[in-house]
Amino acid sequence: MTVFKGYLLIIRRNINIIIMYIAIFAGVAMMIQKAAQKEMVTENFAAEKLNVAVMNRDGSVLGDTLLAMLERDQNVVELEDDITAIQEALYYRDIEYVLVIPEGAQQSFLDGDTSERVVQSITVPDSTMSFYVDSQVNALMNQIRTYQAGGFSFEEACAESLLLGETEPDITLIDINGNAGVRADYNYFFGYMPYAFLGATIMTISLVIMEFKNRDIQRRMQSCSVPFLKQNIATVAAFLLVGCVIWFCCILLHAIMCRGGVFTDKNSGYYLINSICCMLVALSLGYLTGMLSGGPAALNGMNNVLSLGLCFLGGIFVPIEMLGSTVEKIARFLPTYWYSRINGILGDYSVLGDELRATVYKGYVIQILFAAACFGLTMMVRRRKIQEKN
Amino acid sequence: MIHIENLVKRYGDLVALDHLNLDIREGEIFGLLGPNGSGKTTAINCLLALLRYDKGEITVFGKQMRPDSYDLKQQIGVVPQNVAVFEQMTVYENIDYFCGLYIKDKQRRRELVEEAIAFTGLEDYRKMLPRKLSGGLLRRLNIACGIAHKPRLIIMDEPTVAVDPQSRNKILEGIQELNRQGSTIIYTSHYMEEVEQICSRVVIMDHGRSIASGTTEELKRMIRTAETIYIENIALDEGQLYTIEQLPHVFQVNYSNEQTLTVKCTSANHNLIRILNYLQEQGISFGRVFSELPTLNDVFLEITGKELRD
Repeated sequence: MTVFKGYLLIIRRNINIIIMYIAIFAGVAMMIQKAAQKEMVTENFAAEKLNVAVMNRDGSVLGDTLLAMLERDQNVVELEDDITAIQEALYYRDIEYVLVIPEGAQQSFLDGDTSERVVQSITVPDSTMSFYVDSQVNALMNQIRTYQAGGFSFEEACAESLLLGETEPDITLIDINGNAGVRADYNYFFGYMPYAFLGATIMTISLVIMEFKNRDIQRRMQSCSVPFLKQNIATVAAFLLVGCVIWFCCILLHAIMCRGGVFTDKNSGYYLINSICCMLVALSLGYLTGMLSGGPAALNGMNNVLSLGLCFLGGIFVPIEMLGSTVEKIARFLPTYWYSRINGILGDYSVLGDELRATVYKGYVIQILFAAACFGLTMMVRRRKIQEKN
Repeated sequence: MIHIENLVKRYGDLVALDHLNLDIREGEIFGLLGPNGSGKTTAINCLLALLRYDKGEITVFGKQMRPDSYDLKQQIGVVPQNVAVFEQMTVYENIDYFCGLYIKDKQRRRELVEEAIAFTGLEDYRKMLPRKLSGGLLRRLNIACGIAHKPRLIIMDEPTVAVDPQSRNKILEGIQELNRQGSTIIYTSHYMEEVEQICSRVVIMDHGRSIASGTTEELKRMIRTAETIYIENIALDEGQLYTIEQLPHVFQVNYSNEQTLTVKCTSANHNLIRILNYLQEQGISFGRVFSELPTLNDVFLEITGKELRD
């Protein structure tokens, strides 16, 4: 118990490090969560209107129909029918698209000419938005032809086609994933949690290990009457307690910031197990780092490289899809990749099929194996160091 | 109490302990004296079962010492050569922690910690972190951590290295007090004065071997030198020097820088008077004259042909 209490005492002295990392994590998570929610809920799929001008030189029914359609869907800007004025407006991006309906356009249309020969467009070079306006114009003319083919007169076809564009389809979202296509705020929160886990845990545990691995203190500990096995059990128990405290702090933070949302999720168990696996990884890495690092300065560097590196490569800070395929292949060996992947699955699907569930379990196993490998390596390093002394 | 027989420890080709034999009796302050690298710390580490040795046998309190001899370790206190305390624990917490490794009862431990603090004079520093303590206070804390549980055997590995003379005296007095309270003490050092001052028996080590052992008096009697006479500011010719060398009981004469005469004599009465009478007869003037009894350094010098601090 004395050894265990000794660990706790030193951990308590380093509590500020835990608080600092959790505070940074909370700040970052809060900002990103807010930004993501804003984008997802309010701005996604908002209709954009383009500034366009129409040079209706035909004055026919077709020309009026096209003008009416553009007035409905875009911002039609009044512009003098002069090539210099058009060029200037395009150059200064006052308008992005000009539809020219030449004299005799309707006749050309009725003669069966293609849309490109009936009307012309002048656009800002390489404008993707203009492409959509072109498509809209072509679609309208195709619609008129379809109505005509169905027995409508030209005028009726124009009126019906225009009317068709005003009709709003009744869309019913089939929510297979159960989240209406939107990730919950707590999914973002859990997404960034590994940074807090890795940063706080590695730093705290390493600092404690560095105190205990002092050669002379070890000599004293080996000379005392507490069996070596008991000392090791106390060490592991103390570190598990650190992990529990950091994990609990993050979950508590989630309860405050996300109003405990994860507990109402159908996959709450998966979320919590994933975070526990990640904590085990952080603990084992902390143990290994403490055993390998030479001093506090080196420890700081190692902690930053490990926590930031694992988070970047594992897709915690940057979505996995944005990593190159080579990087992604390497990242598959990292526990953070699997944490992030599981979190992504849990964010996208509230109901998990067999295949997804298998991926989630695979991710857990890989994280636990990684933690076990690190722990084993630490034990080897420790044994090696003791043997070196002997 | 402690019996070490034919202990051999090798580090590759280097023989750190070469058939070392030791017998330490209960209640004594036993000194392990030797230059750096002579094998003192290795012997201690083997004794504590911190090191595996190649050959030999170690028994402590009549039982063989093994890494898992926790019942024996319970009765031993260790004060390592370097200060081994936690930087992030206060003075009190450090002593309490190391005492807690031996004493489970809280109340008893509290009493022992207070006693250790009082014994080492750290009352005013109990809430301070070690980094704020001076070198001498740190050494005292190091000792307090090793003795707080009142062990039957205390092993002190050069506890006064890099300590100011005032703190050193305090530490040495403390060690003698611990011995008076009933602890057997093994004290390793390369400071012969300290060993002479506090140890009841001494083993002199060199190259992993015990080259001499006994009380300080016994050790001094083992060598030829019984008295060394120094005469300063003296001018002698070769003939006079030869004559002094031939005086009874004189066995070695050094005339360094043609100023100081050093005469080593075997045990006899009136050595100094005989030399002074000769100088007077010859009308030789001289300055300060003094005589020294042999030290453990002389013992070491005479046995090994080198200084203890080489």
